[in-house]
Amino acid sequence: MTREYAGRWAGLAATRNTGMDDREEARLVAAARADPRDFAPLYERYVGRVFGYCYLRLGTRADAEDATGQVFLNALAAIGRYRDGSFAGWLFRIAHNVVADMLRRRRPATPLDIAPDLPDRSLPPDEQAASAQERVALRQAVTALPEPQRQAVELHLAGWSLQQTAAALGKTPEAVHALRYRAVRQLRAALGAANEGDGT
Amino acid sequence: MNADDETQARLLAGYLEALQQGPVATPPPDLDAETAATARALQARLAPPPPEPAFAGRLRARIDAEAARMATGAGHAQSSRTPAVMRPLRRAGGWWGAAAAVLVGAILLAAIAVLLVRVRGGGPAPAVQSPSPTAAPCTGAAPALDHLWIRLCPDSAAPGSTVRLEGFLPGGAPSAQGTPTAFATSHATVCFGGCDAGIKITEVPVQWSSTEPGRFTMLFSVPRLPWLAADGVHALKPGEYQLGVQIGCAGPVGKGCTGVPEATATFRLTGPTPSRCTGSACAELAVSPASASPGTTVQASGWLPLAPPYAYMLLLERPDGSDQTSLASVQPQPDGSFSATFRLPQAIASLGVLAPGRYRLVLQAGFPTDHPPATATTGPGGVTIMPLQGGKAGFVQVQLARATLTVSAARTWASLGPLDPLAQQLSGWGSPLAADPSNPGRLAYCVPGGIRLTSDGGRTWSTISTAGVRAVAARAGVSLQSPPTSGPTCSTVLLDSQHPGTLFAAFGAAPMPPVLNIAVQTTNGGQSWTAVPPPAGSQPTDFRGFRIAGKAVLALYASLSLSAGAAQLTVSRTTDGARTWNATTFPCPAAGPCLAWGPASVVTGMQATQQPIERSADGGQTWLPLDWPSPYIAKFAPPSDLVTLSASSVALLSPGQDYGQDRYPFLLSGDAGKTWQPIALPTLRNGVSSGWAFESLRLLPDGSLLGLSTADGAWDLLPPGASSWCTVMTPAPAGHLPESLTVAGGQLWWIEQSGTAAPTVRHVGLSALRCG
Repeated sequence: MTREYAGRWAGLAATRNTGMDDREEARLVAAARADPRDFAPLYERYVGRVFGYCYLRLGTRADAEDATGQVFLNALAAIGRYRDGSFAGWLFRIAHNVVADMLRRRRPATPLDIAPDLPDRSLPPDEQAASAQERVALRQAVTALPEPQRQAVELHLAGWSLQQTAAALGKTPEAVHALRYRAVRQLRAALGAANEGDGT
Repeated sequence: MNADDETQARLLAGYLEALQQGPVATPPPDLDAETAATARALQARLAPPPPEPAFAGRLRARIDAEAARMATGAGHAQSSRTPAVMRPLRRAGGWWGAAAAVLVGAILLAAIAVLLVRVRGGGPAPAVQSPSPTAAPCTGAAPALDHLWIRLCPDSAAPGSTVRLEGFLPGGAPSAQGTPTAFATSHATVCFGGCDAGIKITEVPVQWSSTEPGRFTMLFSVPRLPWLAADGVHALKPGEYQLGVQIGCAGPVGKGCTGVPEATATFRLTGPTPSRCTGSACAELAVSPASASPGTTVQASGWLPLAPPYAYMLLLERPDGSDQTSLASVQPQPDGSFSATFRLPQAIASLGVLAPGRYRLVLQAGFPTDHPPATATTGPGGVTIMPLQGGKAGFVQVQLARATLTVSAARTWASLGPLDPLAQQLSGWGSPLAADPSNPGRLAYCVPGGIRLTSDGGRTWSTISTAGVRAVAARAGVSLQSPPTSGPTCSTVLLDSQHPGTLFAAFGAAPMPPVLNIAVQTTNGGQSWTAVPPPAGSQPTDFRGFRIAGKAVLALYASLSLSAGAAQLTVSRTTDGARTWNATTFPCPAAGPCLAWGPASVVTGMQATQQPIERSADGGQTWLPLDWPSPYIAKFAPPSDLVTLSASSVALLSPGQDYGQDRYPFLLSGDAGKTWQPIALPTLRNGVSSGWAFESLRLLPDGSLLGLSTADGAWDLLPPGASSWCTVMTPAPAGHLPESLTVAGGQLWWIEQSGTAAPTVRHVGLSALRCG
């Protein structure tokens, strides 16, 4: 038997969030479902995290803003039909779909791993160059990670908590621990190999 | 992982969490140094920037505007606002009042709530109107001004009476002008019968004393209705009630408003007892019509008891209660009556496609509670209280009333017989793939840095450079989105059938957002480009797409507007291959009803907006948008297709991924767009969606419907009169998403792109798209 409410609230109850507890998020969602004009608190809560994820996936602020807008408008349009699972997971799925859609349709393609990196003007010129190289190398290495590891790392970088990441990826927090750990080890190995290849 | 790895993983997790808080976090001593260094580098080098405040603010404004539109339009019940004291926490700032009142003990959150209440207070009508000030001031000596207190005048009255509440809030000193401070809000909450399970009278205006800092006065109306709580319906009976107030939640003496009042007084309710809900049902629900087909507007009405924080919902469920989904929200009047309308969906989340038959319409409320029952129980007032999975969620649903709604069958595709598509209009900005309507062998499509062009049906292609467009844009004061390395890439291309040397194209303008395009033209096959001159009063970035009208090419312009469909449309027209442009009116299509897509709505910050279908009853002199249908149009969603079938018939095809919205993929109008009827399409295939999510949907010249499923990418065909789809093409390779489907010269053309490769064009003969 599928009971929309039951699943939804049970799922929300399982969500753990930083700063606000499960019940509050459940109530925020309930309020937004009852009246979309109450969606704004959820937006405020997640806009930075969604933007961060979109930025990491799309590589430019313009595209990330574009995608972030799409994500929240989609979420707003669908909030009345939100069914089950955690809100963070639901929102992540929308974000993932929007990003995938943009990546498929973007023209011209500017893949993340070759997107230009803006230098850090606060550093001396030589350090700017080194910093940019390291950023590009890291970005390429992250892009090459297996998808679950990459998502675990990118959600972390985008500010998603461990619990939100677990909910988003449909995994336990322990499994996210393991994914991140494997990812960091692989990045460490990959960067080491790259440095050796560069002679650095 | 071995035990050492598990330990390292846990240590790394803690360090990553610390790095999220700040880059100076110290790694745990036992964490491997290289792992820690990699994590630190990862955080330092790749952590994304936060969204720009300006962008976040614009998006917030857009969200609020869209939410307001949703609340008063399709998808949520339309009912008049509840204007008086007994309204639950529904209106502007109401939720935040509830959050501060009931949910958390966080004083910070309450402070945010106070600010948001103020910010949002300028929108809809205030949640609670002040009753007429008939209550006399309190007499007698006030308590000492050294603690938070309230008193009631009178402290005994009948339901509906106006009561004056006086009090003192230490630290709530207003300015000399009597305006509220950060710790003394302009509105407060009065709880009748407790702040947890009682009625919350929200946003009661607070009048601060200008002579005695911290002294305040409020006026509120005594409830005249029974109320609904997590444990059932409580009829109003004469007797003593606790009267509480939440006013200084964010202040230095506030208690956080964690579901308890900050100060209380005792109020005695006198007679007469309200008659409703005494020995009879505490809610009524009627539905009209009782039998309806998808797309029909249904009205639900009745009466219900009032509830604290949560609003009421209408849900649709199967007769056995096995599956249910929400249809609309309900906002009652102060006397408990309500009237809400909704459009019966064709398919809806959880229930899927609504098969003909009987369904139950359920009027339901939801409540937080720390003590949910273990199983469904009947509470006071005869309502059904349902816990959630053993009550663990701390939430109950209260079913107040039910009614039967019979869904009658929608007209089926098979019953339509052959359709004869005469013309099509696509929503959105335009297509990056275009065919010459007079010469189907001529096609063009956009690639990075150029436009590919063929005049022999695709046997040979030439490339027109668009490098010169950047300078054209610069002269118009616009920079292009396209990165310098790849050259300008058009978003839209159009061929002039009367002038082969003339091409029109549109290019995305930076910065994004907003999503804007500028229009350019070449009259010499791409050797040089010039800007399409905008009409007087318009800017180049006001461009909203090209249209073909007979032998003329139209360029549409509309200024940026925050109100979808509200932009003033101006139209330029050329008939001499872009040598001259003249202002004109927006014409009716050459064939069929006078219906057309309005200007693609461009909203600052976003691209997902409604593009209205507009209708003219005076030959194109004036246009008005249709209330419904108004398909959800997004920049990255596939376009909807308005297909002319006859002088009075038109179809609307709306593909697109389904994020849970109600969708009507195929609507038909037989009266020139005045009324629309959803057409029931067969389920696509076993295991492939529910037949509702199409990446593309096209009506082919022979009247067959071609659908590209979002689920597996296969092409399916639904011939005229058929009762099932057949697969005519297997899915494209992963990452090869066909788009911009165009029929020309007996061929179906589309653009395909994979990864970073330049887009290519493919085509297939329409004769090959047949079942069996």
